[in-house]
Amino acid sequence: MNDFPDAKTHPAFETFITAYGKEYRKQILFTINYKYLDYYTNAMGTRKTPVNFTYIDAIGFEPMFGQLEIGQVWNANVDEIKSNLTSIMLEN
Amino acid sequence: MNYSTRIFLSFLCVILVLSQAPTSPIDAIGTVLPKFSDSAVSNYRAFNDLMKQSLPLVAYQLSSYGSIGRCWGGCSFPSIDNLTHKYPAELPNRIWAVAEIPFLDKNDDGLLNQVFNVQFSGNGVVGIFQTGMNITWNAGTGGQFTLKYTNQSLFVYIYNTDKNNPVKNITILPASLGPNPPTFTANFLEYLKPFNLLRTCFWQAQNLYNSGKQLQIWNNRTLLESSTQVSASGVALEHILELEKVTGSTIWPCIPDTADSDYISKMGTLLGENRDKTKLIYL
Repeated sequence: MNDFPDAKTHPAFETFITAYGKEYRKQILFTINYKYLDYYTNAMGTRKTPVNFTYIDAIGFEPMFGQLEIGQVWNANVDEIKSNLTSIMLEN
Repeated sequence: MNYSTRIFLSFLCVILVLSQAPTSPIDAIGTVLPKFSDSAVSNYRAFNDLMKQSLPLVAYQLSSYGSIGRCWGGCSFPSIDNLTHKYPAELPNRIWAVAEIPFLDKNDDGLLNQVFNVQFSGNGVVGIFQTGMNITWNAGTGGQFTLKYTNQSLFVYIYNTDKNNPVKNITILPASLGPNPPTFTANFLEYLKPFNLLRTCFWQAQNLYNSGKQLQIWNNRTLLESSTQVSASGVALEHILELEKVTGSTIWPCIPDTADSDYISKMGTLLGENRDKTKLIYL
């Protein structure tokens, strides 16, 4: 899910899983990502009540959560991509 | 409590904790499917049917002088400019609904000089236009043409659509693919081979954070039979499910941030009824 305020996350995921099948909870990985880390810390810092993260399995703190630019990988196999990733990580 | 009992209880606790463990990500290399452009050529071709990557239908006007041009608001039927992925239910005289099919430099060179089959249903006139070629078919007959250029767009136009049986379901497919052509191009599937997790937010015309879009209504979503899969409504979820099945990958769709509860519930039902639910899904 993309950048839901906390108050919307829980009912939205609740609605989805009710329709999808609650018995498949472990086959669903619920994610949420904030545009900036600041948005998350601001939201947490001003709250007086606990945040319900019942359905959240992973949180991203930047807009490209889940996206990694590794350049041209056309026709690359998995080993070549992993090698490419390793090279990029070592460079940075 | 003796030592062996403690070991047994500790072991039992570990099993209980593991059985309650949260959902874990899969061991995967994923990719984000790049967004399609609804105003210019997209940077890759995913669909064999050229109509599925056509730009949304817009109004053209045939003037009384015989000239033809884009109708920017002076039309007697202005709502055609809001058709997005929907076929017009009716068209007044001298108003055409036109879809532009842009081609990719080099990547689409393989389409050059290929014979394409055109099919549609409903009553009306469907035409294909490119420099040196202007072919029309009436009332669902369809036919063939040979693509002569990939350095200029192809235009598909609809007019005289019958409001009791409007033109719809236009397909433009390479004849070489036979009677049951695959939905996705071989190049696209080849590109996806290294990946087993596909994030589809951009395909859904969303982004990876707050979209700023208006309320998403389920009835306005793109369908398999929509005039294009390239519009502000994104690609049909059914195509995303098909891609998951064809590639054997795991999908990571977005619940649109402005979707209402009806949309989310129907999206959950559609995904739940049309995929193997024992397989992990990211959301």
